[in-house]
Amino acid sequence: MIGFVRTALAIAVCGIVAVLLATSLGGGPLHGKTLMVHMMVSGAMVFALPLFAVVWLPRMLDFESRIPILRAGFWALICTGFVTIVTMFVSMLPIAGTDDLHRLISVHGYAGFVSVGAAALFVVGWVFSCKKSVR
Amino acid sequence: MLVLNNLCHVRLGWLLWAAFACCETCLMAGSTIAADSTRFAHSDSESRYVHWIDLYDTSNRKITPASTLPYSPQNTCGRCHDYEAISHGWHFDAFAAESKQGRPSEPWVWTDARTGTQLPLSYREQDASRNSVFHPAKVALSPWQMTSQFGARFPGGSFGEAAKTSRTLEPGAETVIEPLTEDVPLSPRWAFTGSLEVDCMVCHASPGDYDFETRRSQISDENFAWAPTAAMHLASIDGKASRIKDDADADDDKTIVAMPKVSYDEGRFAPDGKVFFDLVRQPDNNSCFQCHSSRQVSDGKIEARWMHDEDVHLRAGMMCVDCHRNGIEHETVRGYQGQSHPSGVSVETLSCSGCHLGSESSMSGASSLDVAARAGRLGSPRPQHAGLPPIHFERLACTACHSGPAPRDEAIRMMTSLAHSLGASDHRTGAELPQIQGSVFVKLDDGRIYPQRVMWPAFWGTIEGDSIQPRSPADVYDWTRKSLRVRKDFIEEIANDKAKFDEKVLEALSAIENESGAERAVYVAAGQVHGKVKSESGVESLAVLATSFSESEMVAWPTAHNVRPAGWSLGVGGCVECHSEGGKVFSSTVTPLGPSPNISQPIAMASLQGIDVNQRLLWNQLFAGRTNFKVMVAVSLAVLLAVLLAGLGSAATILTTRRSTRLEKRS
Repeated sequence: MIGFVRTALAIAVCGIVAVLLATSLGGGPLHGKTLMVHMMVSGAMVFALPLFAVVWLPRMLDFESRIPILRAGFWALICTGFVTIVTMFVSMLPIAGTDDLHRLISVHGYAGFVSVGAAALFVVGWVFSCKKSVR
Repeated sequence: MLVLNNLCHVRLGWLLWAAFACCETCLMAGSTIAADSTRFAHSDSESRYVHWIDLYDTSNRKITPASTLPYSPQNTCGRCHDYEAISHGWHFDAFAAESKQGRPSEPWVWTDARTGTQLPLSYREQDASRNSVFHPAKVALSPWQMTSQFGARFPGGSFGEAAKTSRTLEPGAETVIEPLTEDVPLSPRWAFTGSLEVDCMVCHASPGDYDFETRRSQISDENFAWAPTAAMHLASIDGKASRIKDDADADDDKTIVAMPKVSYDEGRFAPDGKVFFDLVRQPDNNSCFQCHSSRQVSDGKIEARWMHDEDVHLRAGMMCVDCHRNGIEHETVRGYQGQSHPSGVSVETLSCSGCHLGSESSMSGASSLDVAARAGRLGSPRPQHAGLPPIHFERLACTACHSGPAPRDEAIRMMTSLAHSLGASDHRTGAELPQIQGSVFVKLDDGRIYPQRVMWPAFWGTIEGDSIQPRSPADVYDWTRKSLRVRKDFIEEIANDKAKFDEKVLEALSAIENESGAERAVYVAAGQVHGKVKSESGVESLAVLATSFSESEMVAWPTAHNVRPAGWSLGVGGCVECHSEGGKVFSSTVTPLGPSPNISQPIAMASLQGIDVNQRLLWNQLFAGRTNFKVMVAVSLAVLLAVLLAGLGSAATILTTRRSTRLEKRS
């Protein structure tokens, strides 16, 4: 059961990252339907990422038995995910002025793009890990 | 004799026009030429130049207490100031051929309560999509008629001057303006009324020195050339040019006797014959308010003035001219974002965003050395807009949140100086035409939402091809007088009763068809086109035509005042102030109004903005759970932080263990 949940969450998080990437591409600031989809999916991300982190944490703490590429992908995903969410969170609060909001949006964007790489790394590591366990 | 003098003046105008024709093009193209002109002396001091001056009359003769002609601003002020350049400036070019529009502005609205007419007119070039604002010439309205109708709300110049009008009719001239040559003959009345020259004192007289009410009265009496003299109380004017018939002989003794008489006040003249003009370089706010005031009408009444605050900038001690500046060429800065000034000078920091946020180039850091591009002009504070996603600046103009009356569930009736002659002493009820409404949140070409004033044209016209050609309001009145039989108010006497409206309008349409020879006449009101339809049995009745015509569409123009303070701006109460079912920017409505009993359906702002209803519903739902979402995000971040700490702790433990193991092995 836990294996299924782990797999489902990993697929969900990677899928969400892909959709967030797709909706953030294109010139100019996000708006209209694209922004709406981005915001809706980011809600799913906020929900799924901590669950994914908690469920995968025991395995990722086992530094000896897992392949490094999977661990690197996981921790990079958690770190970049944290940065993207925290920048979004601060932007939602009446704290940052326009200039700071522009900076936060930039950091959010860069962290988001890095998280795509992290997710890709995680997927590659996961595939290798699965092949290794099948052998 | 006086008539002859006036006629001479008209002919002199022709000659003047010929003399200036060459340089006019240059002035139009680059008004900086005027500013650089060395033809005129200047004081170059911050102090006021005391104007003890000689006055010159419309025949360009020096005025003495015994003079019998009115003083001419062109001949008096034009001796030391570049009148020709000034007369091409913003305001004065409102009555000029091919004048530029820039951002859409309030049209002149020709109203006739007897025929239910509210016809938007403009000499300015209109965008191709703005088909419901008509060029006066295309409605067969002559410059004289326009001057007579709107002269009191116009500082003079351009077509207000007979000379400028006549050039359009000069055969063979290069600058002949086609629509005027054939459709609108030169009015014979110019010979009696004289020209409505640019009256410099309208704006530059010291507060309280210029009598606008007297000016209105003189223009109403068709004493165009006498208005500047009367408004300054330099002389008493006796007589009305309006009493002289169109076909009167100018040389006839009766005509000469009927012309207005001037009696100068000797007390105004110094021993050397000079007159003191108490004037200011920067016009006072009160001068601007004469043509730029508005009042709100709700529940059928004009709202009391004490309930409203003045513009926050004026409250802070600023003056209209602090932002709306101009040089000698009088190209007054309108102050909207993206305005391109004819002088070529950047006026970006005289707009809301330019003044408070700096020009776009300074914001991007491209011209950080250019102090003039920075924010903070006149000490303007830099707004924080804390927590407001910058996308709002892409989609909304500053004015959408900060200007105009506080938004309500539906747009309210507005009265403006230009449309309702506010400032004139009158018994207004708020129901007078034209039926202008505001604030309506509509997009402009830049894709941003602006608060705008709107109106729906109401006029009588004929269908020509796939468009409607409005007919001259004067002709319409003559043609429909017997069929409509309105004594005073079309709305009160006809439009409030559906059966009567159908019957009378049907008769009036037949009358127009008979008189004009047109195949099909229509009455446009409230966005609907009323025309005759024939039943199978051959009975004619009035119906709203199913075909849509762009000439009946809403006319809108953005407004920027009064600016509300930050605490009264939209969104101060949070996102849901707009992103909710009741968000006024999207959900408030405006109902097409017009002199018609057929009530139109209210239109939501979101619909005018082209926003999909379902999409807006989704947005609202997204924002409805925003507080809970913030809590969820906080929890999510806490969990992720815990996971990261656990990872760090684990990594630290492993590193410590490895180090201990290494140390143990060594020992």
